[in-house]
Amino acid sequence: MGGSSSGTSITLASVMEEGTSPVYAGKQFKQRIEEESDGDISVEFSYGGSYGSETETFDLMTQGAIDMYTGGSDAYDLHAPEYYFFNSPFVLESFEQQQRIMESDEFQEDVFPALEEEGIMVAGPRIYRGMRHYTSNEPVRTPEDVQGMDLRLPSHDSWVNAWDSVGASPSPVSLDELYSALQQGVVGASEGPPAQIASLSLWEVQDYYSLTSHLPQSGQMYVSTRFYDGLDQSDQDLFDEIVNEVTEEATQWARDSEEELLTEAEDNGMEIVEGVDSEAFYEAAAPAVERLFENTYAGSWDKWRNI
Amino acid sequence: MELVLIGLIFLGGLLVLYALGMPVAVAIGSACILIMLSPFGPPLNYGLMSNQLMHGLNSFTLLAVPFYLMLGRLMNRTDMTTEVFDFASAIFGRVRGGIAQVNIGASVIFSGMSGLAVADAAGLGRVEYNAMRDQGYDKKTAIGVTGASSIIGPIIPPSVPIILYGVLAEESIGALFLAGIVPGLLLAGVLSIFTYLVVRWKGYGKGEAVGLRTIGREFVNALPALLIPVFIVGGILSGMFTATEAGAVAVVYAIALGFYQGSLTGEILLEEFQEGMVETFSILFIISLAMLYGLVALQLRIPILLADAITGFTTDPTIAILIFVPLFMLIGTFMSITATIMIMVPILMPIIGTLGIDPIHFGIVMILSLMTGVVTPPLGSVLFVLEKVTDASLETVMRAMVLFYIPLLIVILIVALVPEVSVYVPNNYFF
Amino acid sequence: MDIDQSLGLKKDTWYDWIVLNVATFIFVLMLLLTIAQIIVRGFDLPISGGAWWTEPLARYLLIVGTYGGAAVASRNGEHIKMTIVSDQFEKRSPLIGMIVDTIAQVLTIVFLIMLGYAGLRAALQNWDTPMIGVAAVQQGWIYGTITAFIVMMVFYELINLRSLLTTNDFSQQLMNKGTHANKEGE
Ligand code: NA
Ligand code: NA
Repeated sequence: MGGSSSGTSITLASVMEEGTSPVYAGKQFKQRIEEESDGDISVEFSYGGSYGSETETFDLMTQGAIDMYTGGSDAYDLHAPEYYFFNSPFVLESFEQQQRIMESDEFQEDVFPALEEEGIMVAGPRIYRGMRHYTSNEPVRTPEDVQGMDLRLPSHDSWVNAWDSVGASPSPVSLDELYSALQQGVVGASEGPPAQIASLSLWEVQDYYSLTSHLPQSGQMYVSTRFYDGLDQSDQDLFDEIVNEVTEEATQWARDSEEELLTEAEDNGMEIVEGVDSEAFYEAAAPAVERLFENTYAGSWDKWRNI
Repeated sequence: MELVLIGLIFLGGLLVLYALGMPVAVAIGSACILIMLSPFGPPLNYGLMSNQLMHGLNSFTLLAVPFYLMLGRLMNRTDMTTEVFDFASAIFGRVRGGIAQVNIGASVIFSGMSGLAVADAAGLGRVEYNAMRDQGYDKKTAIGVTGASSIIGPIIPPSVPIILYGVLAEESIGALFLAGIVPGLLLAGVLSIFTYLVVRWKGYGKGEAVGLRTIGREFVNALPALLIPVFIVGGILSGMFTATEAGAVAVVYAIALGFYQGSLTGEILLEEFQEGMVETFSILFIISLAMLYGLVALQLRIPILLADAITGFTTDPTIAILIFVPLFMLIGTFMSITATIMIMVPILMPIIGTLGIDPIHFGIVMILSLMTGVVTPPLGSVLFVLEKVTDASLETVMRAMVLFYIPLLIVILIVALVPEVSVYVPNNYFF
Repeated sequence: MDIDQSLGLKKDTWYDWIVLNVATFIFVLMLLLTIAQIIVRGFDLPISGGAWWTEPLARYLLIVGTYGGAAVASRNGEHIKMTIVSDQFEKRSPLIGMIVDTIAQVLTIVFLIMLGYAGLRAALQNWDTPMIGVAAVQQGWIYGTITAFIVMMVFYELINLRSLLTTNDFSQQLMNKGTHANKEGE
């Protein structure tokens, strides 16, 4: 709901919780833009999913019910699914590589118009969120170690196909039931970034955190085109400047806290398994990834990796 | 002031539409549209409406609703309900005011299978009432004990209101289930003591003691039914399945048993599925529109204003809970529990977070307080069921309940003031 | 013991039969998918990728089934309502009771038409937007099915309106009132 009695008010939403880098960016954004516009622009920031799931929140942005979003990558999956490879496991190896690709013209020339057609604009660079690794009750170093293991995954076909190809046995469990499912042995393993391990205290129910590094996970800030186009030039400049600042700070913050979170997991009795043969995992998943590029994704895997 | 005005329009519109006798779901949706059309609200947005039609229901955990609802229907259809009552009579029949204690005991056992107070009243209520009347108890005592004990059902797991709360508050349903066990048993205990006193005061005597052999026989008869809570709670705790899946397994078990014992046929089963389907989906239809209502509330900044108002008044979680209890008891008297949970939880969750109240504790207090509504005029659904299954008039039923608010209130206060009563079990066996 | 929980659902016409049984089929399928999920996981059946798709599929069935079930509820008057106030009206004056019922019924239909329009709009807009996670399922199909069921609901509520208006004593009441008013007007 832009434009209340005086000045501009921004409705900013996130499905994520406090302690994640996208929410960190959102808080910084609110503070700074309110300060630097001398209160002319105010921000109403609701995080923790008050507006529903991420997909739902993006649809709400398309419908004009919210102005900004800070969080994950569902907008790409919804409106440019052929480019969603960047958020599939065993495709890209580092955040830097992912950044390079997503900032390239080859990537943006198709993706940005597709998002803007839905009234969604990407605001600022990617925000790092952490590497996804593997949790289990036995150490995992090679693909042999995960054969047949009941692994909780988000219900996403590209994720399931890749892990299936590695040899794990994917099983759907919703995130809010993950702790109990692991504790009771409904599933034996999960995967996620250190922040997820910490926020759910998974060290109480899993013994090992094996650094498979199968997906550099990142997020993004978004703004509704309708809202952005309604700002005058000087406000747009201020907006751009602050968004660029806070996203970069959030990335730095995420890198620092990733280290701390790993130490926290270790302090709580989780053994961090370092000598993982990451390459073997990527190789084992390669047939599934190749198939995804043949059937679903735009361009070829090689092309993107060589950008 | 702003909050009062907006709140009045927001809630008032809904209540007027309720009063017209519109379906609850339609009344909620229409209230949203009225607000969007009014000068106070956000503009009319069809995209917002369609959004909630899909996203409001996009949750695996919601599947627990159809499963536990079906389970209750099948238990009634296969006479498992009666077997549970006979078993309870064999055990509790010997003590003073025995049959009254049987009434409570049967509800405790049945609560491990059923998730709705109405299911308890409709299933066990008839047997319990007649058994008490046969032994010379007056109508009021018989109805009071039957009505008050029916509330145990949705507190002890499984529980449909708890499932709805868990879905909307995004809390683990397994943990909430465990949190309900002690408060449910506490309610049974307090009710039992209170009933004992009433029975003494009114001068009713002992029931007849039955031999161990009879107890054994009734136990064997009831065993198939008694296995259901073992399945559900045991299955969840041992890790065979999640709470939602446990419901599905229990339904399949009840069906298999029904066919084995001959109380189910293909034709009956189809009818049960058709009717269970209608009951389930009419609840879920309310949920999807209640989600829209919550979203419009968010656009009107109601949760933020409400949180400011409450946190401006007190930041003490205990005092805040003591404000919520009478509020819920009041709301529970004129709105259905499911509708209240669906409308209020999305609005309240951000406030609970701000106040630092444990959402698991809050959920149990909320459901317990709302439950008093089902035995309170004018809308208490259990009252209507009791009127249907007994020979008492609605007026007698209502007056019969008054005395039994005392034990209910005692239990609500204990659970509200001592969080450990609810959160101890999940904290130590779950998290 | 006889516990009366029967709703006596209507199966008068071929379309009643279709809506009822399609919604029931969806309902049973949700149960079967959940059981399948437990079996595949519990017995480690060699199904490629496990049965991960059972979870989203059960969710989508729950979404569309809800509106099918709601249509059946409209047909059979099984929607949860609070009739305590309108019952009071009816007791005081059958005419006012009838008028209140008619207003509620008309408002219900107006609302459902708006809801159906919202569903149709979303179906057209999202015809080829995939559901997150399951690229094979398009949002448009789900919105389309929802819309079809809402249309059915509108149809049933129109039938309910007609039977409300053609109830004998209502027209009788109106006529009495009409002639009475007429006399006074003269
Ligand atoms: Na129960
Ligand atoms: Na009872």
